[in-house]
Amino acid sequence: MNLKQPGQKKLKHIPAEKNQSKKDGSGQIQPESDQPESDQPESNQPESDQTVSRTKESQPEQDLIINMTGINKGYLLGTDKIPVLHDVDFQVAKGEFVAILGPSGSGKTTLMNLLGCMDIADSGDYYLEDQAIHQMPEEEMGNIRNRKIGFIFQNYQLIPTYDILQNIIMPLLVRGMTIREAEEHCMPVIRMLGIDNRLRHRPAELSGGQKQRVSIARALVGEPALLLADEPTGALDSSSGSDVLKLFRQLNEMGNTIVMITHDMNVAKAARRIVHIVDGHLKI
Amino acid sequence: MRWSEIFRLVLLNLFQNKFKVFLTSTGIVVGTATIMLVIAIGTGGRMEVAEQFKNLNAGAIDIYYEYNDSGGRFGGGFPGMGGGMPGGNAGFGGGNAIPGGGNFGGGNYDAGMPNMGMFGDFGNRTNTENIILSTSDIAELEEYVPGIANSTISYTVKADTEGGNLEESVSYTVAGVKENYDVISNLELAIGDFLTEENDEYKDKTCVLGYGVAREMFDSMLDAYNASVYIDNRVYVVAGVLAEMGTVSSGISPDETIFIPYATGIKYLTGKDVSPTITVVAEEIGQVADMMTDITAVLADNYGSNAVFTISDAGSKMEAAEQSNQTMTLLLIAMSVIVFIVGGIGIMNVLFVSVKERTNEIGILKAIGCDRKDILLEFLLEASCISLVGAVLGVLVSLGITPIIESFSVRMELSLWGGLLSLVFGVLTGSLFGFYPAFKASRLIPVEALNRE
Repeated sequence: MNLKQPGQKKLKHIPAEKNQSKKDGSGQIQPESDQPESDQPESNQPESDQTVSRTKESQPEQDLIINMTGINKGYLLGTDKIPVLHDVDFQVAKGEFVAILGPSGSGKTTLMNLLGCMDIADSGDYYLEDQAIHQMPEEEMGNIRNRKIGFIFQNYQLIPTYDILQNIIMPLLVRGMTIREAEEHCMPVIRMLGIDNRLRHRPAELSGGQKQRVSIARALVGEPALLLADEPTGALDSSSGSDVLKLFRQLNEMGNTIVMITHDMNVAKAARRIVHIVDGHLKI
Repeated sequence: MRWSEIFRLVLLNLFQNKFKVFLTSTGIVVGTATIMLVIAIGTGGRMEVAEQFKNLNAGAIDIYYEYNDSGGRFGGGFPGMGGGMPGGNAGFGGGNAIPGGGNFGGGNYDAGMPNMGMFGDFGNRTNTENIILSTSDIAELEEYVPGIANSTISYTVKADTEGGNLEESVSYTVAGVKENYDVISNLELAIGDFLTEENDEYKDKTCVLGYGVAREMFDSMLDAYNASVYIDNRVYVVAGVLAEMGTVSSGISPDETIFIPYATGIKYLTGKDVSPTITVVAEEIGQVADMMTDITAVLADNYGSNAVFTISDAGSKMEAAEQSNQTMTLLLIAMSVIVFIVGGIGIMNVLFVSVKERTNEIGILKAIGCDRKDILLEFLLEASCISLVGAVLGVLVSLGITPIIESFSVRMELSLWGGLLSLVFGVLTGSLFGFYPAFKASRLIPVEALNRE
């Protein structure tokens, strides 16, 4: 990755948590017995400040996956433009697990859409790895979404008429693989997530937790540089939500970069860094 | 995304919504069936016209004179009587004389006088002189009218006929014709020879039977050949039998006619009470109009301006019939276009609903990287597949309807190219009307599409 692009910053390395993912003999990720919250500090203060200050002192510089500077975004309401994001600077290094925490209406979904290349900022620079997204025509953004980003949505966003396998392989089909190639390619991920016995079911036949695993599988099969999760536990019961968060941590420990959006501090605590967003301002 | 995978997804969607596909394609079913039937009716009509006029030469001009023995109170005669029987009792078998060579309604051209129509002006004394056209008139026309390739003279009478299997006499149309009549009228012989110049010169009692007459009088054409028939109680030898010509729209129907030498008929059947028709054939069809003017001038010069000749050309009648057929075809095409538009709007409407229903799905596809082209292609292919289903059903429906329409004596000719054309029209219409909804789907903004319920 080119780290010397204009406007890009370097960030100190953020250490991975000590706990390792637990795998069985088949490589399938097993839910951990302890709650994810137990790994988090007790304080309700944003952990990110502490984490960032700690890493600045002790860790070497690392590649940035996300580098946003001076991002502004607003929406037209009639003739008035309602500002949503104000001069946002946001960086995420490779291998990080960051939670963007904020109340409803704070602009976190807008930020997520910009991060996911599903919307364009009014001003500011956004580099995703070495790609200048802010200069990119809309047509190319689809390709970026397909190759660099894996989306995990609150309500799973699975296509109801397709079966589980068809849903999972869709990003690979979009990439140009044949159905046979795509199915072969995604099997390790499917086995790892433990959904290989549900492949011919329809989404409606699965529980919320299983649907979210399918959604995660779909996000992972393309081997993206970044996993973007929008309230991934929002539609799940506490037990399923806890499983998903553990899964995120395990995926992060395997080297995946994750940015998660949530309004729930307990969920945010699963991340290794928490960034607060309030009224469109990012507070690190 | 690969085309094959997009197509697979389209099929997946269609198979999961079979009833919707069926209902959506109804408009295309009707449109395709209509256009296929229109093509079949149009082709059938054209074939009907071609068949009815197949004994006519496009460059032929018929000249006929109708004697007005009422003293000319009603001038102009009845030039508009298509394929009619212009009077002049021949006195044999009680039949009326019928002009040979085909004398039809429409497109008549009155020589010498501007008066046309059913009735001339009262007091305008025309056709009071009993003029009998003859071979000398032909010679005159050939001398003074340039561009004549061939010419003949003929007449018809009704005469009682016996022989063969007939148990009692039957009144048949008997045509007195010259030796070249078969060439000018495009007649084909099934067996034997047509009448010769010698037959006419020696007033031989020989004849050629039409296909229908031969079948009625004899068991087979072989039996008819060289057999004897009695026309007005005189024995005639059958020199040949014509091949089947089918129904003709006007003039002599060859299948139902007995052809005898011109002079023989004058001698034994009509005497001087005959109204022959002269038929001249133009070297080129483009000359016909000029020739008709010249013929008018020559006849006016010979017989004076009180003699009104009916001059008609076969080409204009064929053209008129063809035009009428084309008008009907155009009308039917217009109808099918309207049906297609209605069907297309139906498809467009359903696809709009489908796009709205599947907005979230489109959002998901866009979120995982589907570009506009893929979305456009998916919905367009869906429209095309629905149209194809409709078009195939339409063709099948038209195949089922055809016998029903034919039972109402409408001639229809189904053809492979008609079916293919209908299929292409059906698919094109659906694809065309499906384009806009597909385009709208491809332009959806991913964030908005994802968040829409």
